[in-house]
Amino acid sequence: MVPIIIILAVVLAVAVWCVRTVNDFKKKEIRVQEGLSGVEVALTKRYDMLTKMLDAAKGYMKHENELFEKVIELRRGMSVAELNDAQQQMDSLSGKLFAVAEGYPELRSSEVFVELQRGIRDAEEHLQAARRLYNTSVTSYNTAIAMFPAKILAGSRQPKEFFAAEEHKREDVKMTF
Amino acid sequence: MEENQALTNEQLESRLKSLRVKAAITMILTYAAVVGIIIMWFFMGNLVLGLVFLVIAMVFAYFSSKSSSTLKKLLSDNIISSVLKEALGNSVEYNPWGKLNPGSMAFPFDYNKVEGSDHIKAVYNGLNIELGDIELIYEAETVDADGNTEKNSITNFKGQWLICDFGKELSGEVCLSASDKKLRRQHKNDSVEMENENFNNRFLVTANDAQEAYYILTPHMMEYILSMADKSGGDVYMSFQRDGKLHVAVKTGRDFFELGKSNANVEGLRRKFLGELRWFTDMIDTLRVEDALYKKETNV
Repeated sequence: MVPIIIILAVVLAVAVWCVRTVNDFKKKEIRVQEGLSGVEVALTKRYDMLTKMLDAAKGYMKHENELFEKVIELRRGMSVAELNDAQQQMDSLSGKLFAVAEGYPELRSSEVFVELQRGIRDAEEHLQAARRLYNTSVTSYNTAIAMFPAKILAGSRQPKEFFAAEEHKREDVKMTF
Repeated sequence: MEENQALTNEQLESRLKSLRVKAAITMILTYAAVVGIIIMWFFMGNLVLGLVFLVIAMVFAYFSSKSSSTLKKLLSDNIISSVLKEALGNSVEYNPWGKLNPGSMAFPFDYNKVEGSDHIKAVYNGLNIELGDIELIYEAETVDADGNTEKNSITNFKGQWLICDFGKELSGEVCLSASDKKLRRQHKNDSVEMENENFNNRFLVTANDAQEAYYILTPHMMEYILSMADKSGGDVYMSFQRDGKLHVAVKTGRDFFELGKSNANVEGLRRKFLGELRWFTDMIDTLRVEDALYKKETNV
């Protein structure tokens, strides 16, 4: 009788552990998805601010047509690599816009432009936060599915992709004076 | 204050020492009288002598309190006012006996009674700030099996509290608390893990929106908070509120601007009090420099 009870207790403990572990995977996976959604929202916000700035700048920069033609459409359901690519394109557009705006003092000093600059900076800070949160969620998920003995229950679950820094940002910054 | 500043440092030190000794002696005599009351009433059953000791205890308690008040006023007029001006600028209001209102509780402390002192209101680098000593006490009455009521009070927080504007509205609150196991269990579902392992071990971060926590707590900010926590002399708590207010509480277990065990050296006291204030002003300055939070639009 006693051995049977012991065996039942062990089986129950293992079953509880399995259920907990699988639920933990699921929870972490949901966090990763939430994190990705947060990145999409932050990218969209930044995109909206940039297009507003483009509209504000149009009146001043009538001849900069090439710049205004680079409009990026964000679609939901992009993979991490596609989102990374979209962000890099926006980084490039944003940089060009500010560089061109340097040549238009009236634009730079207008209240609307200054407000939009603040808004874009805020959007970029939120985007950084969203990326860091996403990467932390991915680390937690990837670690959970790689650790033994939980790994046994991971099944076909694959590690998720991180948001990586762009290549040029990993290099040393060259200072020129 | 100009009249009081006519006191030289030596005179001031001498007066501070004598007041401190007076306060200590009258406090000891008060306690001795209380012991006398207990002995007379409960052990010897002598009501008259007990009453005599009660009067003596009340008299000494009055003189002890008076000495402490005079000491505080002397510190306030001669040292604290100039220290406050040096640290916070000219727009400073200081009430040694006033208390700050912590408002809706930003931190995990149970309390139903607030005591405080050293209430400071100032405009520091364009930001409205309030600072002071706070004691959060939880009082409860218990009734034992014989129907006797006993009042218990526990001090859940004693230390310094800062409230300031940070000119930015958040979508949700973010709170940092010095970590302990009980708190972690209570906040299992709304705690946020940051990338910094050391930070996660020292602080429990809770937020309605995890992204807001990451927005405020940049890697540099986390390193800064860790270094400030090491210098604080107590547990640090921070709360970034939706209405744009920042609360910072440091559970030091003691009050601002106290003589303590120091030898009443005036220059030493100035440095000590300035150091206590600088911890908070450095925190505000760093948050401004970071520009992650402080974007005060109006000019004061």
